[in-house]
Amino acid sequence: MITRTARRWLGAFTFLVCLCAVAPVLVIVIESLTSANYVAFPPPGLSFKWYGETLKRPEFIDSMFVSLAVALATSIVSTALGTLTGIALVRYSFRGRGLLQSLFSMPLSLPGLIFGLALLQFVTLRNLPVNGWTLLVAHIIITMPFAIRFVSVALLGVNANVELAARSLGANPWAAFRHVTFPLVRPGMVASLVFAFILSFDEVAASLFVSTPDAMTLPVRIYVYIDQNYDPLITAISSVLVFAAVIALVIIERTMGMGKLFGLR
Amino acid sequence: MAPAPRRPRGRRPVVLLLLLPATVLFVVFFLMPLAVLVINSFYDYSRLGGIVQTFTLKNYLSIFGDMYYLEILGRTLRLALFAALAALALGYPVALYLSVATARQRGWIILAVLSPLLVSVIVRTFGWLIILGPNGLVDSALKAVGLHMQPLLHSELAVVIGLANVLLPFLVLSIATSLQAIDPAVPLAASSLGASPWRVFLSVTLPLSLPGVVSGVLIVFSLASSSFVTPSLLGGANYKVLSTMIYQQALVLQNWPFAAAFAVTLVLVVFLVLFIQTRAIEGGKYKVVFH
Amino acid sequence: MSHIELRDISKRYGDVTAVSHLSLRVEQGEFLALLGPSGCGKTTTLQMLAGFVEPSDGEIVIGERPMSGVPSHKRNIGVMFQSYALFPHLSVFDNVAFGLKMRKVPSDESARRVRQALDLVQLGTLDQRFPRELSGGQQQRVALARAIVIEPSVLLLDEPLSNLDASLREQMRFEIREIQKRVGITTVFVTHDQSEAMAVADRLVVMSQGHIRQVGTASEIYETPADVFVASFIGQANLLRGQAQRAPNGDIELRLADGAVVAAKYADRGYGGGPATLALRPEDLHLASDARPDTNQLPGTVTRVNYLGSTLNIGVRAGDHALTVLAPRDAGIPAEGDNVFVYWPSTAGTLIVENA
Repeated sequence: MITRTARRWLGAFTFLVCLCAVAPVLVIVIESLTSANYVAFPPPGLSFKWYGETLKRPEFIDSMFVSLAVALATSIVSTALGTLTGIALVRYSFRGRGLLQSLFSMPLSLPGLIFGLALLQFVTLRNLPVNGWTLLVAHIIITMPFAIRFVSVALLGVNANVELAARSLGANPWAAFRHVTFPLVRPGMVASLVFAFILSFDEVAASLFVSTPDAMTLPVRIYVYIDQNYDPLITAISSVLVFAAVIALVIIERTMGMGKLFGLR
Repeated sequence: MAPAPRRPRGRRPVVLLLLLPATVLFVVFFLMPLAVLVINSFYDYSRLGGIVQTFTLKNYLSIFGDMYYLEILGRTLRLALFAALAALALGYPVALYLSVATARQRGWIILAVLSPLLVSVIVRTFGWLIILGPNGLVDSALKAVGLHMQPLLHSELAVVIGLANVLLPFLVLSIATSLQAIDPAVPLAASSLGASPWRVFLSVTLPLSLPGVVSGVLIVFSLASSSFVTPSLLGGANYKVLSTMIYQQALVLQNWPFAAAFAVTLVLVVFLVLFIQTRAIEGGKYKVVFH
Repeated sequence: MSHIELRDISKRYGDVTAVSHLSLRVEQGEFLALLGPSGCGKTTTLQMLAGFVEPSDGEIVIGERPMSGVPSHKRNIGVMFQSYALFPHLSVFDNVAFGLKMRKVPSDESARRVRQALDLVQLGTLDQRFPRELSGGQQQRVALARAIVIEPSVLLLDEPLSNLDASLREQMRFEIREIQKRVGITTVFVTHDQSEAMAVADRLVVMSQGHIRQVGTASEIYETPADVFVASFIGQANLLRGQAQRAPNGDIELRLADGAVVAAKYADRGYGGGPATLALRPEDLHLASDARPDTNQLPGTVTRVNYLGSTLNIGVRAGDHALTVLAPRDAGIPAEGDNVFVYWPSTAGTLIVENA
């Protein structure tokens, strides 16, 4: 159905595109090991000095903790709320269900930039402080559609009759949930935890608006720095973000695989 | 998969309890801020008095009346279009190869194309900065063969390259999903009826992949038109798009109403483009493919 | 020369052999069924005929043209798939016209031929519909029309009726056969349903594990199965294993494991004896309440009685053997636990000898 030569050309092209897809990340990691004091690729020599430099910069260490804390809190809260909401939307029928489903998926179609601006304006005009909590709220709202989706998909995969079978065998609703539904939904919750974490850790656009000098996430700190400077320091710090992504990747690959997470066989 | 049986509505209290926290959160911190944004866009701003809460169309008239801003609007849309087309040119062959690759190859390709999504856009864009910038990968490679060219950085081309790279996974995902849905016997049937491999692609594979192509292109287009980090870093200080305006007006000039007007404009314009495109598809000759 | 010839065809996938040294001839206009359990290689054989898969060894010749290296779109074949494989984005009319379009037939002639084909399958009024608006049976007819409108030299059907419900299957199989007879195309039909194969095919090819077990008409295969596999795959069979010996009167005496001796016939005069199996159809066996001295008989006990309307399916345990007897209903209905004698003439059944 597809000729051998066509296949070879397609394969070669695909290989090149895949190379380009991972190139920027590879370049950053390699450049972080440069011995030079300026950005030049390929690096003239290798050294760990820029990682050492990073440790001397308190603002970056600070931001790393802020990012970690916010991401952790976001993933937990988002998954918890997403699970509750997912269960309600999938297992129950009520007026306004469609409306609520649309509401919860709206953050997906709103650019983060605009959401960040809107949130900033709203919070300030209500005379509420803009701090880490605002950041947290923003991240939760941004990640929740994914949490709801992962849990819903996992829940839909559980035949509702399984719960009924458990009930007929003597389990009350809570026991049925604990012993039957929850174990089957767990992969969706794990996916949600990991994905919400990394999404929050990486988030830039909305965070740009609701970050403050005291509560600034790492990506925002990096952006601010790049705006003014251009040196290898930032590659070492960026490698931290790459490292987080790799860990997330390993966890996802171990549980369900990147392809399956997005719907590919 | 059997559809879930619906429980009787007598269990309302439980449902309410499950939905309450998320709904409250969304209404208070999502819907209301958006309302505030829209309202603010109709307010005025003065450097001395801050936001002046009188209704005025001044911001919008400014945006649509001033050539400077209209140019920026046009540039934003143009950039989004080029980025979408570039991503399509790169992504379609990859999605196609995915459908004929071995299982092992599929695994590696999916990994290579999708895992960059887990890395922050700022890191990926900065990587392109290093590749395209002075003394960067491209620059060093050209110098090694004796060519001297101006660095690609700080140009629209650089931004298109960066955006296409960042948004590629979405397009590949979308097209691969629709290719996956094609019954494998259908291309075989076409082949048995006399269609050469090229004709099978043109008459069967391509039309049936169109839903994925269209939805992917629309996603990339809307993401590209609202992207901020990539145009900002790769385009340089003089390359301004709508998102640049939003950022500058809001955080640098503190003119929140004007920034809000830009934000609303961006959302409306993108929505309009998407709407027109969807209409065009639904009326066109491939409408049956989209049901 | 036969219309289709498969010469010593084999297909291997790594360590797995799907088809092994298969040779077969199909005559012009014949309706041949490839029959066997899943995994027997019948679908792989069809795919090789279609050109979707290349044989590892051997040669395929269609209409005196060797097919090695000839891709599927140049073989002038018509294929019907189990999943119908209609083009979802094309109307019924465009689906059927597809093959003609590939052959660059001018549009008015193409339209005429498409209408003709659709009338043949009785779908003339639905030509502007789309596949998803049609029922399974209608989709299958469109698939048939699409395959025959191009007037292929060979029609290949890959379990085309498996996705239809039982009554539609029966109806469709006869319709397909009618149309095939009218048009006269050489047809190879793959199925796992033996009653279907027996109902419509001119000849059957029974396959198992990549090999052909027997080729013949329905009655040849049913009455004289070549081996134990064919005997038990086609219809039901009672298999009596034992040691055969040539008796002085020319009959074969079969000594069963539990000591009983039965008489059978075997055509080959040169056969002296050896391990063999007597295959008897349920309708060959009869029940009696008393012993019958001058025919083959085995004493036994009735284990079950299934009333099937026109016949009775009776299970009898006779010594080591679990026998199935099909009796007409006017012969009286025995009860479970009755002691009976199962008898049959020495001319009944087929003796299947084990070759050295």
